[in-house]
Order: sequence, then C-alpha cells, then structure tokens
Amino acid sequence: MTGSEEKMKNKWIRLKKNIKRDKALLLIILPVVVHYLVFFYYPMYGNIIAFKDYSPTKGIWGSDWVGFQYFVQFFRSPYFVRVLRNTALISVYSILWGFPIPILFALLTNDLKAGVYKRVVQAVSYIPYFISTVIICGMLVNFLSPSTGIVNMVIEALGGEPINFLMEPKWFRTVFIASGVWQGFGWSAIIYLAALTGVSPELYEAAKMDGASKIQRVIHISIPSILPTIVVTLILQIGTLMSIGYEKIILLYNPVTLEVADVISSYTYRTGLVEGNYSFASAVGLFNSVINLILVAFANKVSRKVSEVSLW
Amino acid sequence: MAMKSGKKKHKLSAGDAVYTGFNYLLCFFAACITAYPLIYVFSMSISAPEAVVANTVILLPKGFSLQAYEIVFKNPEIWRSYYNTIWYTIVGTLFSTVLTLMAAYPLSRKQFFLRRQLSFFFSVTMFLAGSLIPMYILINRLGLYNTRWAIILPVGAAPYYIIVARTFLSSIPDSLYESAKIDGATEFTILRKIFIPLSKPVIAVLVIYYAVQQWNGYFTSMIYLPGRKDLQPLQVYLMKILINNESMGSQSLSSASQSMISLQLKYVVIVVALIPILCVYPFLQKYFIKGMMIGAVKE
Repeated sequence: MTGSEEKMKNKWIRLKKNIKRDKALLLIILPVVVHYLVFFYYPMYGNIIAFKDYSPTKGIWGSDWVGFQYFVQFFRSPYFVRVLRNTALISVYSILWGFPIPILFALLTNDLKAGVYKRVVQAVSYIPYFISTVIICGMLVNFLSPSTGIVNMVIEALGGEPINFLMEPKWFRTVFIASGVWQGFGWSAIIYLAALTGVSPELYEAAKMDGASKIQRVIHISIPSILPTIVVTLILQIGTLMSIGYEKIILLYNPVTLEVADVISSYTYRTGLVEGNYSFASAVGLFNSVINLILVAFANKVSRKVSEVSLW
Repeated sequence: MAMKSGKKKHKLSAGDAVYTGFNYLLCFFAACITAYPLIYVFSMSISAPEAVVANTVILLPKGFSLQAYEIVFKNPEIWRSYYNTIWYTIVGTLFSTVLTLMAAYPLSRKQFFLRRQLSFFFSVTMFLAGSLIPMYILINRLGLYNTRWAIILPVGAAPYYIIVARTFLSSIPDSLYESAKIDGATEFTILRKIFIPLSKPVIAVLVIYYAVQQWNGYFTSMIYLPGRKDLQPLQVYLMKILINNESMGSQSLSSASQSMISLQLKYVVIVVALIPILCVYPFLQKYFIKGMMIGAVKE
C-alpha cells in the first residue's frame, strides 16, 4: 500500500519538477499541439460520422448512430469492386513503370562524367516535379485534344486516325501513369543517386584494374550498392498501394472514363462533397484509411526485417 | 584530379565506348522528353495566332505575336488570382514554417521530458490523417468556409517536416546550448539567437516546401472557396480555363478573332503560371534535394 502510494507521490513530484524545468519548451510547443488537436485530431475523431447518420444541425456527436449501415451499403454497391479494382490497377501499373525508370536513370546519369552536361540533364529532369497538378492536366488536355493537340497531329501526320485519349476508357490509365512517370522520374532518381555517390571510388578503380568493363562495373558494383535502397523504396511503395490521391484523377476523369478512372479517394470526394452524402463518404474514406494503415504497417514490418530501415 | 588524368591513359575498350555513347544518348533523350512539352508550350504562346490555329508549331515559335499575352495581362481575373496566390504563399509559408520550428525545437532538446510522447503525437498523424469529409465539416464549423484562413490554417506544420527540422536541430552541438544556458539565456533567447541563425539551411528547406505547396495547390481552394471568386488563387482560375474550358471573357475582341486566339490564350496562361517556378527553380534546386536527404536520415 504505502509503497505504491509513495511511488505515485514520487511520480507526481517528478512530473511537477519536469514541468517547471521545461516550462519554456512546453510554452513553445503548446501552440503546435493545440493546432494538431484542432486540425489533425478533431477530424480523426470526426471519422465517427461514418457510423452515424450525420445531420449538420445535430452535429458530429449529436447525430444518431447507425452502426455499420454505410459500410454495408458501400460493400454491397457495384462501386465497391470498381473503385477497389481501379485503385489497385493504377497503383500496380504505376509501380511497374514508375519504379524501374528512376533506377535506370540514376544508374545512367551516375556514369556521366561530372560536368555541365550531367548537371543540365539532372536539373532538367527534376523540373516537372514542381509543376502543379492543374498545369500538368491542362497540358494533357491540350496536347491530347483530338482536333488541336500536337499528339494527334503527329498521329495524323504518320497516317493514323486521331484518338480522343481522354474520352476513351482504355487510354485513361496510360495517360495517367505516363504523365506521372514524366513528372516524377528525375526526382525519384535522387535517392538512388545519393546512394551511388556513397560508393567508394576505389571499388571502381580496383574493378577497372581487374579488367572489368563499364557494364560489368554497373552490374557488380553500382547495382548491389543501391540494392538496399531499392528494396526499401519498393516496400514503402507497396505501403501506399491503395492511396491514389483524388487531385489528379478528378481533373482528368469524366463520365465516360469513370468506369476505369474512379478510385477510392475520388469516389469519396464525389459522394461526399459533390453529392453531399457525408456519412457514406466518411465510411468509404475510413475504410480506405484502415486499408492504408494495414498496408503501411505490413510494409514497415517487412522493411525492418530485410533492411533494418523502418518508418517507426 | 590526378587520378583522372591517369585514367585517360587507359584506352577505352570497344564495349565501354558503346556503353558510354549509349548512355549519353539515353540521357539526352530523357532530357529532351522532359523539356519538350515546356518548350512547346512557350513556343505556342508567342507564335503568330495563325500558326497556332493551323497547328504548324512543332518546336520553335512560328512568327511572333504577343497579342495573346496582351489579352491575358488585361484580364483583371488573372491579376486578382495571381495576387491571391502570392498572398497565400507568403502568409501560409510564414505560418507553417514558424509552427514547424516551434514543434521541432523542443523535440530536439534531449532533456525535454515529453520528447518521445510528443514526437509520437505528431508523427502518428502521417498514418492516421482525418479524412476529407470530417475536415470539410470542421472548416465549416469553425466559420472558415469561404475565408482566406481555410487555405492557411489547415496546412500548419507537416509532420514529416517537423521530423526533418528536428533532425537538423539535434545536430547542432550541445555545447552551444549548454554554454548559453550557463550564461542564463532563456529558451526563447537560445532559439532566436543561436538556433534560428544556425538553421538557415533547414529553414530554407521548409520555406521552399511550404511555398511550392501553396503555389501549386488547387483542391482546398476549390472546395473551401467556391463562393468567393475574389479569393480564389491562380490554380483554381487555371483549372477553369484549362480543364473546364471556360472562356477568358475578353469582350474587346470580335467573336471570330476570339475563337482564333482562345487556344493560344491557354498556352499563355500556362506560361504565366510556370514562369515564377522556373525562374526561382535553378537557385533553389539544391535545397529541395537537401530536404529530401535530411528526411531520409532516420533518427
């Protein structure tokens, strides 16, 4: 009894002492904590409207509970399989194309002789990363226009029929992913380039002495030295498999391409903010968050096992 | 350098020569693919309107005309949305950067007793972010809907960048902190006089990250400012022109010449929106990369 009481008391005294000592630090960090409570934690709590019939007049807490009704409604709707399939397919194809290209580009630029050419190639390759989604999509709409776009002009000059890329479901993924690769390959290569600059030049020199050709040096020195980075990056990408954002999707899709373009996040946006079904959309959003969390946790665990690198 | 001149003496084997040539060619190809759309947009924007409509521009401008630029610069909506974007970028960046440093500094102090708990408190939100709808409800209930603050306040301090800044601040030698403490300086003074001046590289990283985010963002403005055209930033205006195909409303032109130039106007607005980014980009490039590298280092 007295032992545990004393323990409590000691703990309390220590806490008071700590607060007193770190008063200034606490004061500095307090506004950020308050900001997080309002703009990060309150919306997290707001997710409970997925289990309620949200009415703005009753508020989040006052609205009536409906349990899993909206989840069941979502699982039973034909949209469930559609958005799940679209999200997964776009992700998988994005990784298939978007993952190897930056590695290849990093290996190539790493072997360029240091100088103006190398710097220019690298600097140019990063630029698209800083162009806004609206401009990227605006350029796509203009370039791919069947009547005035440069792409169709080239197709016609080569004797082909013009293609209305953005109005044909079979072209949506290609357009979405190709523009994504265009925008990101240079930037994504940076992390591999950093790993490559860490390789000791003596290794290359020694290999050269032994008569290894340039390609052999790439295969036996460069690639193995960035392999850990490759593995970790790939695993972490798998963690984001179901989290394609709505920003670019909603600018590019239209009623005709919806069947292949609609992903979970864009579906949340449309049902929630466009159609006003707050609770239903929250259920969809929450479902997505849970899946993402599971995937990230899984990816993190695998990553820690194979490479000792982890997010937490 | 000495090594390099030594290398030169070795003769390049045929295989290596092919590899090197191939390499240079592929990199050239990659740079061309990246640069081409940007060059094309620029060429379209300054070509003669006839060439634009006839679609004869391939790479370099055909003819020369600034007529489309004139129309764009006479448009009050462009100026207003430009002004709004600059406002959001400056105010938002300032707010977010200060907030990030205010979180990062205490977390970088080893003796701070809530260090672990608060680090967790911040970083957990990277994986458990509240979804779109609850955020929308919150903005409405706080009365921020259709106000400028709906664009500034929700961004705050990004958890990832709190970690980046904390990692940097932790690397500043403890001896500086200790000796300032012994001299009787308060935490505020230490932060202001010692840590902020020494943190310029990481502050640059934060400023640039938040500024690019505010400059390029359209979604929050689209959903939180639908009724206030006068508060909407450039990206929302661009969306209307480029994606939704709204006309720029230049009454001064006859309908024939308007339809002729409307395509070119789109290329002009793209250029006008891209120019600031492309102008500052060469100077800031290294900070972007630095930000990515600091973040990659795990504590």
